[in-house]
This record gives sequence, C-alpha cells and structure tokens, in this order.
Amino acid sequence: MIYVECAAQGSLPVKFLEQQGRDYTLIDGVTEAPNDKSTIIVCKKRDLFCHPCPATKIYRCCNYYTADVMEGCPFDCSYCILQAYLEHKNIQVSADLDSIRQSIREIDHGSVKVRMGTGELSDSLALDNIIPYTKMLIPQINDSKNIQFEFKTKSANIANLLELNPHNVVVSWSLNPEYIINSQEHGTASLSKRLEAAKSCAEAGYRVAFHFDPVIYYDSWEKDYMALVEMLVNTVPEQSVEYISISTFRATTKLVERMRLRHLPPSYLQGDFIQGLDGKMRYFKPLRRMMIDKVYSSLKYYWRDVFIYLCMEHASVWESVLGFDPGEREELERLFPLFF
Amino acid sequence: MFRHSSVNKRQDKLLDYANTKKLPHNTLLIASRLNASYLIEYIDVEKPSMQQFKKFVETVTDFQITAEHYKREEFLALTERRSAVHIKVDMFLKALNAKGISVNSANNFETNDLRWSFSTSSLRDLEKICEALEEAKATLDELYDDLR
Repeated sequence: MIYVECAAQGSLPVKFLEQQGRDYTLIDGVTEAPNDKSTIIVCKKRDLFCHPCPATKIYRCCNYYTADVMEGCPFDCSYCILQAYLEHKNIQVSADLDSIRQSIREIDHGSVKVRMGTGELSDSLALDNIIPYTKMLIPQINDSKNIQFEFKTKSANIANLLELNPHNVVVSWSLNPEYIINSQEHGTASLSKRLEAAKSCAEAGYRVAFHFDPVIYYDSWEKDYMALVEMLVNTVPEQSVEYISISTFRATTKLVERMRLRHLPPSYLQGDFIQGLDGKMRYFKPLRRMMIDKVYSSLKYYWRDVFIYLCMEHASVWESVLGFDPGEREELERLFPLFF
Repeated sequence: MFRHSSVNKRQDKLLDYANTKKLPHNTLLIASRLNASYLIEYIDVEKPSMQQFKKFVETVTDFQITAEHYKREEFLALTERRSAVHIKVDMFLKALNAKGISVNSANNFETNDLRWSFSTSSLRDLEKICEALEEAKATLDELYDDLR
C-alpha cells in the first residue's frame, strides 16, 4: 500500500507513481500510515541526506558516504541492523529530490573522490520498479566529477538500470549461500537471480561489486561459501568487478534483543560470540579470522586482481589475512580502485 | 479449570520473580515466549540473580529449548557454544593453569595483550614456571599467532 504526505504532492517520486498509474492514499503525516513493511510512504521530511558512514576507530572502516534517500526495507533479513536502528518498519521515501541532489552536488564540488551509496538505510533497488531512484539520481551521477555511486541490493530489480548510463555507477549485491538466503533473508532474490542480475549489469557496462556480509557460521558454512564463490566466479566476469567486501556477523545488544523477539530467533545466535571492543557481539577472533581467511583465499584463488576489503574488522585480522593494516578511514579509502 | 489456575499460578510466580529482581522489560518480554514451567523450575533450583536469569533466558531462546522440565546437566550439555578453535585455546590455558600459570585477556582475546600471573616462593618455583613456559613455547607461539 502506498501513502503520500500532502506536503509531498507534486514531487518527482509522486509523479513517477502517477505515470505508472499506481493508486496511493493522501495523508497529513507518516503516523497516519500503517507501520509495516508492506507500506511505502512518500514524505516531505528534510534531513541530512549525504554524510560519512558512521564508523569506529577500534575496527578498520573506510570513508564511505551514505545517501539516505529512503528509510526502511521491504525485505526481512533476520540479522538486519535496521530492526534496531529505525523506529519504524514502514518504508519512508524522501520526496525532496532537490535537497538530495543539492546534497550530492555539494560533495561532488569538493576536491576529494568519494564513494557513496543509498544502501545503508534501505535496499537500493528493492523498490526501484515503484520509486525509481535510479532514474532520478543516475543522470546527475553520470555528470559528477568526484562521486562513484553504489546501488547495493539483495534484489534482481535491474530493469531501470539497463536503460541508463552506467558511468560512475557501481551496482552491488550482498551475497550469502542459498541456505542463508532461504532461512534468513526473507523476501529477497535467490542467489542465482542475484548473480544473473549482476551478469546483466556487467554486460550493460556497469561496474559490479559484492558484499560477503555477514558471513555466518553454521554446520556446512565452509562448503556452502566455497560453492557460492564458485557460482560467482562462473557467472560474473572478473574484469567487471570493482571490489568485494567480507565481514562476519556482528550485532549490537539492541539488535540481538530484537532478533530474540522474532517469531523464530535465528539459530546462528548459538554461535561462539564474544563482546568486541566496540561493545558489539562478534565471533571469537580466531574463529572469524579463519572464516574470513577461507572466503578471502577462495576468492583470490579465482580472482587474483580484484580488490577485497574487510568491513569493520580489527587491524590484526587485516594483517593476518591480507598481510597489512590499511589504517584509518581516509587511508583505507585511498586503497579503493576508483574507476574514474 | 485446574489447568487454568496452574497456568495462572506459574505466571504469578514468574511475575513475582520479575518484580523482586527488577528484570529488564525486554528480558521479561523474551521470557514470556518461553515455556513457563521450565523457567519456574530453573528459578526454584538455581535461585538465580537477575543477570543469571537474563543469561538463562537468552540461552534458552538461542537454543530454542522447548523442554518442560529443567535439568542442569541437560541444559549445560545443550548450550556449548564454543567453536573448536575456542576450545583449543581454553584447553591450552587450562593446562597452563594446572602448572600455576594463569592467563587472562581483558578484551575477550580481541587483541594479543594477555595478562600473565603466577606466584613463586623460591627460585625453584620460578624455574618450574620457566620450564612450563619453555615446554609450551610452540603452542604459545600458535596462540599469539591466532590472536595477532
């Protein structure tokens, strides 16, 4: 069900809805709409749209920027941080395209090359057939001098992308074995659909990226992740891959509480966890180092030249698996192979 | 009718415990979804502190334990979370402990800063500690390697 705040009438996202002939209900404010994942609300709220991704100095982070154009996700992944981070379950879409574009423009006018994406508070493409942010943002991104823009997804919703110019755009997929997708990533595209979508985007000239995040420990994890890597390398051409991230499951106390309150708490909570230096629950370090090493080595076996980084991991794990400590934010960011 | 009153009795008992121990709201919420008689038996047998009860509720939830009756040994056997690599570290530290050397990590082994402690009352005691460390050298090297 789609709702539109009265103040958002006439905005570009609403015009797209009208062009598609979609019904919507007008409301005065977001509190009038149901608070569930099947509800989309186009709203006028102003916010700081583009900002550096929150990071910690304790674990190594890159200098990624997030563009918060949408809050909430139609998918229902058991480990998703949004369960703890957002106060609402519905999907709130910003109608204020002018401010979003201005926010991107301001960053583009700086002197630093920036990677930015919309996948932090939502899935970048899950609703692109309804609210086509790709169409609204990519023409501006194509002209940008300093921004490489990432659309991060667990969907196969790429129809709009195939009609747009891929210049300065990276399309990325979060990947997990089919077992995890089926049991924990409710509503998302199957692994083969994600990989086929990545292949199509690569053929259309897009740079593609992959996130092995979160890598989850379970009985057959090693065999399943190795099979996943094989499927990936057999489907997507190496030369189209911009980067790959790896990180194991981690969660704040609040998120773990939310997970325990789910109808079926995920069985991977039975894992070997400790409280990390940032207070988050993480796998015991030698265990996660081993997990990361297996996935990293397997990827490097097939794709020697692809840039692989670890997301929010300790410098010692970087040293142990990749052989070096990348340093803090800007230092790590400089290692990324920006294609422009 | 009997069943109804026994269910109420269990809930009352759980609520009494929650009030007395000032259980956090979320713990109570998670507990309310578990088997009440299992929780009550645990409270009766173990007389847990609030923290112990919280941990218990979390563990029962994570392991999706649906048993009616609480039995300590069965519970402990079901809840072994440690991975092989963690058990290996534990066993090594236990072996050192048996030789009078205690090793602690202030941050759950997230860094390789370990606190070593032992006490000696003679040079011979100290020599024994050194010998034990010498014997364990290869494993120690491996441990630091794992933590590095």
